[in-house]
Amino acid sequence: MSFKNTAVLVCIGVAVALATAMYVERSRQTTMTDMQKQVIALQGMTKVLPPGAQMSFSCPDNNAELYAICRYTLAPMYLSFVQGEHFDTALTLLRVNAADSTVQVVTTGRRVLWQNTDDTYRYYLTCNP
Amino acid sequence: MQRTLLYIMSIGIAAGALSMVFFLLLAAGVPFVGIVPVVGIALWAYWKYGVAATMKWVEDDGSRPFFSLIILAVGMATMVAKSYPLTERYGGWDAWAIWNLQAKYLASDTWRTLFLNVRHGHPDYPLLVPGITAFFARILPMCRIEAIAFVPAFCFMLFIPVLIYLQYAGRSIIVATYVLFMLATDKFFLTLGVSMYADTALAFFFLCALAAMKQQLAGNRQVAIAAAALGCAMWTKNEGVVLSAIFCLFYFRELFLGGRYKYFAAAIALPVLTLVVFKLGFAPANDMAHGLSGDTWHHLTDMERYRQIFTSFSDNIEKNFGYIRMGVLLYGIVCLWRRQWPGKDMLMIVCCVAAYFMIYVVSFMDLQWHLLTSADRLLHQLMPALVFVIADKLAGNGNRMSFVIRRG
Repeated sequence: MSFKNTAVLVCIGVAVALATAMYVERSRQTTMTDMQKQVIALQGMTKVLPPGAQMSFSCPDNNAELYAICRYTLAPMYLSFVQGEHFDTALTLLRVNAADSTVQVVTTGRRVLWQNTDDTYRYYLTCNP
Repeated sequence: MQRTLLYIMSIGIAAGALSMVFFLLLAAGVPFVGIVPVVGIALWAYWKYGVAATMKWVEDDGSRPFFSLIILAVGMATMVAKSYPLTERYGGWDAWAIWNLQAKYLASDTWRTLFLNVRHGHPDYPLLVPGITAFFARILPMCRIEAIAFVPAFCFMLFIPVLIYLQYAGRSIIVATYVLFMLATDKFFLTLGVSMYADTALAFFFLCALAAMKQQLAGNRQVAIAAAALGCAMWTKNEGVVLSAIFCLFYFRELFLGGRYKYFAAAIALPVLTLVVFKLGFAPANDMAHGLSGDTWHHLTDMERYRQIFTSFSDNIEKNFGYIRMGVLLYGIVCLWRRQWPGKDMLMIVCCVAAYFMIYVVSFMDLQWHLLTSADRLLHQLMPALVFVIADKLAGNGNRMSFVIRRG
């Protein structure tokens, strides 16, 4: 291969390496997004359940975007958002100002495996006793 | 064909082949420790008996003027600089909701869970992009999956203008340079590229197939390259199957007649096998195909839908692909000037746009929402090929009527 051919391929390699390094650096600097909030809030859950865990999921207003964010954060776990599909384990998100009675509906008669609260939601991971 | 051009195509196709072999071995239940050496051997064989064997018959383009390399390097640096502010930590919506999500599943031992995500998860989408990411995510478990996904995403984006530039720099450095910088500075092109969507990969493979057909290689090897690129397109997105079918119809003679079908069949065998295993063994029915019903006829006769789709396409071209209007105009002028009909390649792309148009017509989804969320990405898949075709016409063939500045 001639010098000029090699030079083009080297340039491509340098450009990709540089772009990746800049992307990684920028990722560290970016401000808090909804995704990052969920990543931080749900971090502890990955220590309680194995990667292949499957569970039901519910959140305020059946928010599909919130579901998608949680699913991505917890993958390769499976979060079911399908009506009629039930699992022993359930991840429930409640608004941070949810009434105590609402919290009781989620936790009564069930074992709480893990819980957390951030400035928007309360997170309850429960299972059948 | 220039050797560099062939290397770039080969790297893209190798990445696709890696994804296919990885998925087939996963499906066969081979543990990852066994997958790595098999993938390694497959890629080595591909390079030695495919790429290196072809290179023997390709003339080295070492005579390319040095300043054309400088222009290319500046173009690539521009892409790096311009795309930097457009990057997002987790990529765009489709990246984390579909492609990188699927990669996370494929990178785990419980990868079959991926196919349970029927709600908003699109488990029927082919897995070229997630497969590449997942393979390297398993090798490099200490790296964030998004950082791994960014590398092939950026490569596919970078390869598109570089490939067009290398194809035409020898015929018209002005046209080639204009295309290089036009794409390198186009915000929408760069945004979709660094968003880690699969659309840019599909655009690259479709462009590869078209570029391969412009080459004349010993032993009709261009047919094998085009077939492999079409196979990769099919394994990238479902739309790739539509594009490949249209491509095969338009290039039927060049791909199949005169015994060339053997090269085509050999090169497309692996992608077709992978797709068949995936579709029949794992993926749920495609939502679009599954949604066809008695309403389809009603949709076909509803003129309002045609108007709505046409308006959406026009608005998209106006907003995101403004550069193409001037290109198409110039293409038309050159055709008139030379008293030529538009080429087969141009008609093929028009046919692809028409096919996408009709998919929207029969779509069972809310049309407004469907157009809003996907029309720009579908047009993005075709734009590099369209730019390539226009540049081919404008770069001319060296006669007085073409926009050619010939190499000295």
